Amino acid sequence: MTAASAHVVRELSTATSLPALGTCCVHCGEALGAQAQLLPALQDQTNGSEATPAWVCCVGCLAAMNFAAPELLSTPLNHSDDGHNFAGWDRAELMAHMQPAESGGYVVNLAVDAVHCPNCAWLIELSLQRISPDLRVSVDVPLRMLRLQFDPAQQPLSKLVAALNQIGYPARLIHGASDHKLSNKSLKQLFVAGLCALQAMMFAEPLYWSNSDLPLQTAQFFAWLSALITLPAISYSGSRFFTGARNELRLGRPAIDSLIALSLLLAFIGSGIGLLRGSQAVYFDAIAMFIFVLLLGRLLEANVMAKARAFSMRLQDVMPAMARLASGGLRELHKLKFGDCLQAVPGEVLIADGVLQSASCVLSNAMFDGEAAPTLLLQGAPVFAGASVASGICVYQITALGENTQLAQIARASQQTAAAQNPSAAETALMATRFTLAVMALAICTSIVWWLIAPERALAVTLSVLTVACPCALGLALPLTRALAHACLQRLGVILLQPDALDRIAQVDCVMFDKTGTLTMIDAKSVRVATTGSLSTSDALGIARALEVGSTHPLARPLSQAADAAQSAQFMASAVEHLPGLGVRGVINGALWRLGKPALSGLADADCVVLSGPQASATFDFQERLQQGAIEAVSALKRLGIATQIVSGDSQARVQALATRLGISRQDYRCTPTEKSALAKAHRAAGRFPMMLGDGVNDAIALAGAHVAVSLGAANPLARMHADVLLLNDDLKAVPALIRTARQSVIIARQNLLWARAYNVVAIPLAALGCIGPVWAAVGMAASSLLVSLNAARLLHKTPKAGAPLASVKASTALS
Amino acid sequence: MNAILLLIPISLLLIVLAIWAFFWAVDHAQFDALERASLVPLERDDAESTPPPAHTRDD
Repeated sequence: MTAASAHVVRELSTATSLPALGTCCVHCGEALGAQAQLLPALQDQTNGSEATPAWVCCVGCLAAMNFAAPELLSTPLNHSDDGHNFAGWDRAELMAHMQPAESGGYVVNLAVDAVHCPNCAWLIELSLQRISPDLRVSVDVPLRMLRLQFDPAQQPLSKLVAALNQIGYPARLIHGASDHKLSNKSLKQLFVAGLCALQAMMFAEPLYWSNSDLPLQTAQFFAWLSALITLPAISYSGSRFFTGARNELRLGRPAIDSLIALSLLLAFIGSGIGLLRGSQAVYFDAIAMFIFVLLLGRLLEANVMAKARAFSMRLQDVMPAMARLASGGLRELHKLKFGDCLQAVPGEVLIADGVLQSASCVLSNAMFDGEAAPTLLLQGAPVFAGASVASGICVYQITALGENTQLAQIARASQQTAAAQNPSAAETALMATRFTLAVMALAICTSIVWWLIAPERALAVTLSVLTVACPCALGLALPLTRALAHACLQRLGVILLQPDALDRIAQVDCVMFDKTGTLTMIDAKSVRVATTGSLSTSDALGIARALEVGSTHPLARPLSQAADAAQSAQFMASAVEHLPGLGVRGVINGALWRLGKPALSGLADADCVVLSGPQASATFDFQERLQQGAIEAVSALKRLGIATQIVSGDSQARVQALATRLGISRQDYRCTPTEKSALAKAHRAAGRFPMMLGDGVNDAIALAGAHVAVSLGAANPLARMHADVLLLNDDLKAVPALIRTARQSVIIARQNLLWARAYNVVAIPLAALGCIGPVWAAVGMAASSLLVSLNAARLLHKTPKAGAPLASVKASTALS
Repeated sequence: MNAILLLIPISLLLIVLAIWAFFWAVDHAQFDALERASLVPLERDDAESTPPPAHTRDD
């Protein structure tokens, strides 16, 4: 919300052209992205002669250069209080967004969008720790989140946020505090269970050699010791199974937790009785190890899922928590009312629908029309929540808030479509319930029958049934496979946002691609220039670059890059004027030049951009370039037997040309979002399972209609909100890999379930007949679960590793 | 036998110690940011006096 300093920084760079291709950040060496900025000091030198321009990749590296080597910058950046008051951060209402920390103070999660590379994390941590060494700061670079533990009494949040702002990292508060780190309690439980299991095994070892000359008293002594050491494992570490079982029983759906709890209780009580009677039938070590193995599996899965959830939460956070009033000061969203005047600076998102009050402002409505360019709006024009300010200061009067905004209505519409999805998780839960009930019923029958035949063996046999039938294999089969699949996919830069996404991806039999932004992209190499009159190609590009300075139009960047590549002469444009929906015009060397749609120059409408001036004109044609890995992805999908299809809003000619190039036989062009959604639904009605790839917000509705919705990482937040899967690095090769991994994991999960069932079907009757003693039952159970785990681990070797071409995933995987 | 009678209390004591140490570590945020820790050795602690060099590109 306090993007003002980012604004300052951006202004520094607007007067410059864009970096030449292949330039890297001088600070961290990363490739330059959309946030790239020219260093101010070195910029001055470029006026001289041959000094090479130096670029930084992000606000963070700029701030780092300033922080560490201010002498390099002729005019040190000064982000200090540029008229913004951070007092709003200290209001009592904000405490609702904070969690009390276990070790005192409060924890707050902030979204810091400017975080780009490990340097950013370092800089943030260093500068905050300078304020107070007691602060606990952790920056999650892939998530661009900052977790801050602080004491409001000593360091007010406003001071910390102001400090962040000062070094160029405006922070936003995240709604609904959530914790994505490992839960402290489960870590402790796991550790206690593991330690107790090891020690119980040590103490129990003499019992396994009881045929030797160990005196009975010594054996008894060790049995008591292993009972003692198992106590913390069952009462502390195992407590979650008992709470889980209680919850399941309260809902009337006993499942795995109930069975685990029952086995633990019976095994413990049974062993306890055995201990008192002085028999050798004690299984305390098995109990502790059982708890440890179960907890380990759960922690693995919970860790992976929590990360994915935090990611989605971070992405869903479209709206800032506070708004800046035009009259100055900050106010919480829920306290705003109709007629209030709000202010937003470039880079910020509007938080309410309203009427524009400032004279003019350039807004990006990508939230609504997906692929559209930023548009210039004049005073009195309606503006919508979710639009972001591209340039100018936007002052607007509120006409609709919260649930009544257009954005909320679109979001609701796509949520309703999404609600029609079938959850396959329910099936698994039902299966677990049935298994549990069956085993319990069998155990009861066994104990009754054996009580009648041989009362002295009843307990041992019942325990054998419960132990041998332990859902260990069943309990591990699914979560372990799933956790491993998630981990493998993360390495590829794929994030699953829905718990049941894997099962659905494995079913996919056709993939629908959106075109622009998904299969194709536009860059400098794709600009084709045709000139008339005395104008040279190089000058045409130079003039276009001069006119587009500071523009955020999607074509401006490729144009400027093409001009850099052609080493065009530098022109200076004055009196530049943006013509809404048409283009831009300005005066260069005393002559008026226009750049924009053909209509701007009085020509017939065509698919190109025209530059026209005195006695000369140029036509720029933009060839869309294929997205990274598109060809490989399509052919790999074909090998997997998956049908491919293009659905696009673009013209027939362009769509068909692309389809021919990629070898996609089926294509639909000039589709509205509703038509895209209808196409997806038609597939589903025909019994197929379509996967839809898209990025625009218009796709949100279409995405929700598909069986699996995949969103590209650069997509905007609303589309991501309804995606099942995120591709972080825009590499389409991840799509076939994703489907392959999902199928593999479903196959392995199925094998594991099959094994677990076969094992149970054979072992339980044998145990019930008294053929398997409790010790061998425990051995069988352990072997079975080991087999299941090893089978699941095969997944790690079967999935491709993230290779060298995935440059942008470096930051996310290296740190995760 | 006497050796066992001595060693068993010691082992129990060690377990209590280990659990206490682990709980202390968890409570003192030692497991909060497992990703960042691996990057700390790459960072320079003298960054204030010298200009930051080109970061290792293949980190």
